[in-house]
Amino acid sequence: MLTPFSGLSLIVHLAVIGIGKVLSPLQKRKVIAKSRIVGKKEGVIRAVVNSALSIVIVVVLTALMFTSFGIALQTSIREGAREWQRQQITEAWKNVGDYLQK
Amino acid sequence: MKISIIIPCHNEERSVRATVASCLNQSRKPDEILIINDGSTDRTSQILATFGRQVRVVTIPVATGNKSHAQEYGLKFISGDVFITTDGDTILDKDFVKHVEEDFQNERVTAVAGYVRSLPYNWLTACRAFEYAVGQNLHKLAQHYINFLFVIPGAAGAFRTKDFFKHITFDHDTVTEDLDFTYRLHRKGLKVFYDRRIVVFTQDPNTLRAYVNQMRRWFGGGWQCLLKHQDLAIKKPKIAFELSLMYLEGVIFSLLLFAIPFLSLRFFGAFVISYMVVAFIFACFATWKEKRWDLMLVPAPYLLLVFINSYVFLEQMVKELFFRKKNLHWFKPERVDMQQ
Repeated sequence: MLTPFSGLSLIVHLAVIGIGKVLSPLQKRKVIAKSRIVGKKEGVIRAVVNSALSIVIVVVLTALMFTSFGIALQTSIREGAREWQRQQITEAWKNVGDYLQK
Repeated sequence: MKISIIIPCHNEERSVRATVASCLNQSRKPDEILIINDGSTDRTSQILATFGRQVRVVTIPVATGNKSHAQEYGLKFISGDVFITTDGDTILDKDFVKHVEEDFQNERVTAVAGYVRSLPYNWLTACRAFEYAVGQNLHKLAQHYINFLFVIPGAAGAFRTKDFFKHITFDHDTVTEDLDFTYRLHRKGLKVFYDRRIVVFTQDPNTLRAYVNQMRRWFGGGWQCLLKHQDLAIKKPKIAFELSLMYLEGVIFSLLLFAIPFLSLRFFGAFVISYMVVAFIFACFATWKEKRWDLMLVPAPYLLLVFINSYVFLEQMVKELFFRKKNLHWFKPERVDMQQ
């Protein structure tokens, strides 16, 4: 886990633990001992449903994360418009542009 | 139930005595301790000889250069119904074998993942202990609840022998064989069991160079396994969920970490402060869990490691995903003397 103290995974995992702590006693599961499912037959329909669900999860999480990424970038661009390092970078790029135009 | 312990070793003269002693001093004695001496050129062989018939040593004359080769070689010799994998720089808790036996009483259990603790040495190992405490008590516990344990640690894992031989082959095409094994078990629908009572104490890198090299191996191996088992992420919803969280968030977090200081120092300052506050809360949690007060001081140096981790994560992503430069070189950090 690259980002143990930030982001969606922290929130989601805390929620999962919370739900798990509540549900496990109800399902009479031992936290330290989960059993595997052996020889569970996965029919074609079940496989298709699983694949579809997986793709939906990946797409939703990708969209969510890139939206957050965009918002963070936009905010930092807006907030730092007048900061000295931004002006230096802008100036440097402008000089490069001018040099290339010549 | 017959339980074997398998320990691959390559030049472990500074730590192997403590490792073997911890195996011998178990509250439930293992039935077999098998040590694979992988072409050691130091005093490892002499040290192992002092244990006499208490351990069985299998020697590979020339170093294989990769732990998975040594493991594959050694597994031909084991006779246990269950085998425990650990490393030559790791000490097993005295009840390790006892708890493994309890867990495998359930016939449906294929593999068990244990809990890794970092041996104290310096600030770098304290940062690792902090990461382990949060990773294993929060993220790994959540993975346990959704029945997708990301990895069975190579230093603290146990497998039912017949299931292992039936479902797992050594491909030697990644540098994180433990991660590869875990993916394979999930592929077969064999659920992995997480038991926090099964504890090991391990040596972690104590220099920045060693730390970076280890992170290169871990992240590089992570990307290799993700590529190798990418179909799992579109076949099983819980795997899609967990891998998306881990890898997408890793990429986005790393990119932001390097982009934001150039875009807005004020915004970056706010990010650092909020990150430090959260890290401090988790440092208190880690202190409580590990009973180590030095972990309270970790959030400040950990910030440096966050940058290093993010850089290495992106570097390995580019190497493995875009340039397909598969690194199969096994890195072994320098060991320090370990007390029994």
